[in-house]
Amino acid sequence: MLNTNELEKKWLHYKIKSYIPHATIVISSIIIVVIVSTFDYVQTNNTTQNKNNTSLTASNNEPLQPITQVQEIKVAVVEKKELNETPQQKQKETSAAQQEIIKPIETLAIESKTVIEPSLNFIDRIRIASISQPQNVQATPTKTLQSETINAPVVEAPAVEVVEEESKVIKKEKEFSFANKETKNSLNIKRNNSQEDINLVIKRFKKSNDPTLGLFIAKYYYDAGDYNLAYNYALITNQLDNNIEACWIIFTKSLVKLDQKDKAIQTLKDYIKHSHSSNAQTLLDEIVTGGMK
Amino acid sequence: MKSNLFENSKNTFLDIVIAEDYIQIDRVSKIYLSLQESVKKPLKMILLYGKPGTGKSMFLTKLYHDLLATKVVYLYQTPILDDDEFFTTLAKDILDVKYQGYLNFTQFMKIIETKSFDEAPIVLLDEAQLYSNALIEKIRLLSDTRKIKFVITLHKTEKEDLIAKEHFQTRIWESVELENASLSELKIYIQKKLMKANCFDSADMFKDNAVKLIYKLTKGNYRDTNKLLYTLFEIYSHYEEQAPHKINTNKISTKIVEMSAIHTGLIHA
Repeated sequence: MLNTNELEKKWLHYKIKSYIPHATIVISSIIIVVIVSTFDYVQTNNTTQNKNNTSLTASNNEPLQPITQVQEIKVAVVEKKELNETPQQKQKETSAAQQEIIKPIETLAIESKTVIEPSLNFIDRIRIASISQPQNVQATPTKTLQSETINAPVVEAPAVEVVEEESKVIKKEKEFSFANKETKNSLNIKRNNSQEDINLVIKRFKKSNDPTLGLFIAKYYYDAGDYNLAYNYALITNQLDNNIEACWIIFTKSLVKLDQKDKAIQTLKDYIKHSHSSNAQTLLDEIVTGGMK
Repeated sequence: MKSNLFENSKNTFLDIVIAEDYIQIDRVSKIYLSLQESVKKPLKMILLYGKPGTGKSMFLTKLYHDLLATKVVYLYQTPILDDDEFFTTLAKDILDVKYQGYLNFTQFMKIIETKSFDEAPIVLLDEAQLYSNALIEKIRLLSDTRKIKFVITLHKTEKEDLIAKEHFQTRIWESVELENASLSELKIYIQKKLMKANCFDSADMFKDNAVKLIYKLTKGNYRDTNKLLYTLFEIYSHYEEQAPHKINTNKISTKIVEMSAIHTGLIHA
């Protein structure tokens, strides 16, 4: 006679055992799905937050100051509403306040755009100038100028000041062109300045002894026809850095203009020996043949 | 009434070899007919082989009963393991001679060579894998005299394959392999068997799902199926008496099939 009770127990045990792998698969699948969806949700949230942040900060390239102001406004609005309203009202009011906040963001951003505009133009001009002018002049790179100019729109107030200062110069149609990194010492300078502006640059040059500024001043005076001053500043700049090709060229050109052709030829020859500069060689040929204007 | 039905159904699946219980299934019937034809030919030895529970014994028993009316046929379901006893028994049955003591192989050969038969007697040996190699060799030599035909059954295992190769490869004129039932064959087997015993209600309970499960558990092996269904109807019978609410008489319960499989060892719970 069969013991059906015992058999039923065994069957139940068998069933439970046979369901364990299925249950394990189902449970682990659920866990995986939950983990993945949670991860996705968190990532999506982060992405949207980042997007919001970047859209707020980067919308007008100069978001730092306006945003700080906006946040202050937001706090002020919320605090006001918190005083005597229910939570539902608070929500409504908060959303309304946020809508109100959007407007100041836009307006402030637009204002800031006008403030920062010069620095952007400055960068653009540098780029255009570097592309359009193939003739480069050796010069020591002004790292502070470059980095400040690039970073200024985004980060800190002092940098913005620098940009503003620089932008004044640019507004008056100074063009700086920096060559790419391979010829990082080369620099082209064009000038069309008033005496007042050049005085400002001379002041800075005296303060900083920056050869780039020295070259700039030498070029300015050469273009203005003041070859004595051009010679002087080129000489000073060469003493500061004797590897700037453009400076040697201005120096010798000034000598030619000052009717010291022989000295100019000798100087160029010495420089060519040292640097093997093709530009200097061309200038030397022009001076020798009398082709230099 | 129902409990009687289950009881009858249970007894249908008792694992005993009775020729009347033989179930005709198309594929097996064809094999059977070809074997019947082979026996009529002047072949020395026919090998019937297959895995345990594929119906070799039933096949041989059925053949014996069918040939009995027209041929001189002897069936040895239980192997005679002692050589002298084997030949003494053969001499008694085939030659109808009673000897004092045992007859050895040499004596039997001498006697058989002097005898002439109108038609060679057919000796059916079941479970031939149990015979010793020496005895198998003697049977082979005996079959070479063409005085006696042998139909032997072997389990198909590696060992039996080896025996078949060593002793029968060049001697066997025909070999027949029996296999487990297919799914459809199993359903026919179960239902035919129940219907043969007038258990129509029980036969109707075997829907496709139940047969699939049984097939999955037994792999179509007839002996395993018989064991499983015997236990299944025993459980049904028990429930019918003790807890009729636990059974559905319209179809075979998966749970009870599994319980039967656990009991018979087809499922290791």
